[in-house]
Amino acid sequence: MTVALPLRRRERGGASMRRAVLGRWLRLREVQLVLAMAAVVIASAILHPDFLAPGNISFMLADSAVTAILATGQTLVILGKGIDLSVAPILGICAVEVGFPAQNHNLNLALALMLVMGIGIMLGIGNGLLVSWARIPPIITTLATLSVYGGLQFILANGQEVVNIPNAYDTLGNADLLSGVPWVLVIAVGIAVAVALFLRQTNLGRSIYAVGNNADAAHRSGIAVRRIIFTTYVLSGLLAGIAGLIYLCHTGSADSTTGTDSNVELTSIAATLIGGTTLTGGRGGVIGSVLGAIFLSVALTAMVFARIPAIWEPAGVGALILLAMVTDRHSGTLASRARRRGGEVAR
Amino acid sequence: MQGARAASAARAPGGASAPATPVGEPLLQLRAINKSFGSVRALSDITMEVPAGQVTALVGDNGAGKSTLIKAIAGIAPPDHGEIYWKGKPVRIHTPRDASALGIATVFQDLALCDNLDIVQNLYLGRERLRARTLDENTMELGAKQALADLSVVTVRSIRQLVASLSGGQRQAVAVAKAVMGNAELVIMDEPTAALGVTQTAQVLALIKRLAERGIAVLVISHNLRDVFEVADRIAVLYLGRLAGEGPIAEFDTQNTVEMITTGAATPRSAANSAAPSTDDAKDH
Repeated sequence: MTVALPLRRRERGGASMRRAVLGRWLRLREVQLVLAMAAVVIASAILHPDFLAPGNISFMLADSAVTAILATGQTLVILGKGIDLSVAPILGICAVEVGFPAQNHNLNLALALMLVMGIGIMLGIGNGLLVSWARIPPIITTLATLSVYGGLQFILANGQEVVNIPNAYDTLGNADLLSGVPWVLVIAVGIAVAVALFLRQTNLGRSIYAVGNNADAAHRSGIAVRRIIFTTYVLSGLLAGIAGLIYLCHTGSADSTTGTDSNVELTSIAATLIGGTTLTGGRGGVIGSVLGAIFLSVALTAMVFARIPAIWEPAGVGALILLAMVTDRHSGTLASRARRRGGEVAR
Repeated sequence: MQGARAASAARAPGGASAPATPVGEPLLQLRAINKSFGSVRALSDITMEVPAGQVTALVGDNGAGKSTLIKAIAGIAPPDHGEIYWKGKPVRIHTPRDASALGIATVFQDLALCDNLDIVQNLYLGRERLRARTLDENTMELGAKQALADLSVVTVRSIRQLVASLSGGQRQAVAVAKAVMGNAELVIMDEPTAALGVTQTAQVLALIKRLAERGIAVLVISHNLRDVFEVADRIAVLYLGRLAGEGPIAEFDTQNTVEMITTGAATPRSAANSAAPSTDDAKDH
């Protein structure tokens, strides 16, 4: 049954086979992103050698860490055919809730981590319950909690602002592991790799893909669909909480509109989509999302180097999302090609 | 065949081979199954049986209640009243999980496959093999190969192909393999040949026969009487939610079956001389 495969491959011959393998690689969003990033970096470095200074590289990568962590959670939700708009105030609440104790009482960093994880999980549970048990559509649920959690953040901050954080926080947020490789990015990548392994190697991860593609089929296969969907929102909340702590450490500030004022929920969705995860669910992965986050940061920094005024930044993000979608349509990712092929065969 | 059955039980999820049905006891018995949707009576007093190792065809016109009946057995939409006996014991089937725990697997018309997953992933969906708490891909690949080989599915290029890229007949085969892998003793199939061409229909019918040869009970819905007479050992005819006739294939021919499907009337040759409890129902009309 499977012997046909190597035979067919051999028949194709060396050169065309190499072309086929190359073609498959080029259809991978991760590869496309790395190539696009290389192009942007090379072009910018030629025009402005400073672009490659360790300081700038470190800045760009550190800047993408918060988005990358948020996008990792966002990807889990979107793979399950949901969406989480409430990550911005979850990040904000967590930044504020550990920011003040850290500033005023020198809160231990490990305790702070536990605190943000707890808050993130609780707020994620709120979303999860509303989506999976109250069966309110994800976009409505999280649009509502975006507002509710945002209001809560306002109340919790009480008009105050975090301006000083202990040294331990600052070191975590701004030190480099190696020159040009900031700790926060190492953390973000570490989280993403862990989540990627979870998606690939566990039955729960596999279930998320199944639920996102065909919830009915998943249900009939004995998968507890609602529990899977619930889990994705809790994990998104958890990761948004961790992102809140990283944000606090990196920027040293937090207030009543942290997160929502810079629309980090939309940036996280943008990174996820650019990373090749589709809004229709069941297709994509977190490594792409992390690359998407880094690509966004690199591209936006390149715009600054090209002396494009900062007010054009949102337009740049939008253009990148559209570009990613068009590439999707044009080159055709593996699954959509397969679907087309399937249609032909069935007839 | 016993050897093959034992071998398949050893590699199939669930492990242990299922206890045999007591002699003389039909695998599945329905007694006075009723189901209403609002004021519409979709099923009224359906009493019938499905024996092991045989193909039972469920026929009837559109709206006769065929899908409602299999949904009741599959735990998708439990009946309002009535009893279901499995191997002679009364059972309750409220969810698809209940059904699969008993050994009832359903292949719906839409096949319930995930297009974004490959054949192995679909076959083991919801019951993945684990080693050290992570997915054991090697074991699953071997199991998937074996499952397809057991059903003599030879047309699949690679078991790591996405299901989206398979033909209609191949998809049907994967869905059936998935059903059988759960140690199913009863496989319910809803219109398995409806969307298929001639060759693929022949493949699926052969597949159905092989299931019965392996001792599995098959309950198949079909509109196509030619297919029915080719594979079925028994026929049950539904007419407007009630059982118009039921019995061994020998008691039916195309003419009286069509008559029963369209008018609900039992002809002299039909279930009247069968010992099935359904005779009363059939005579009533």
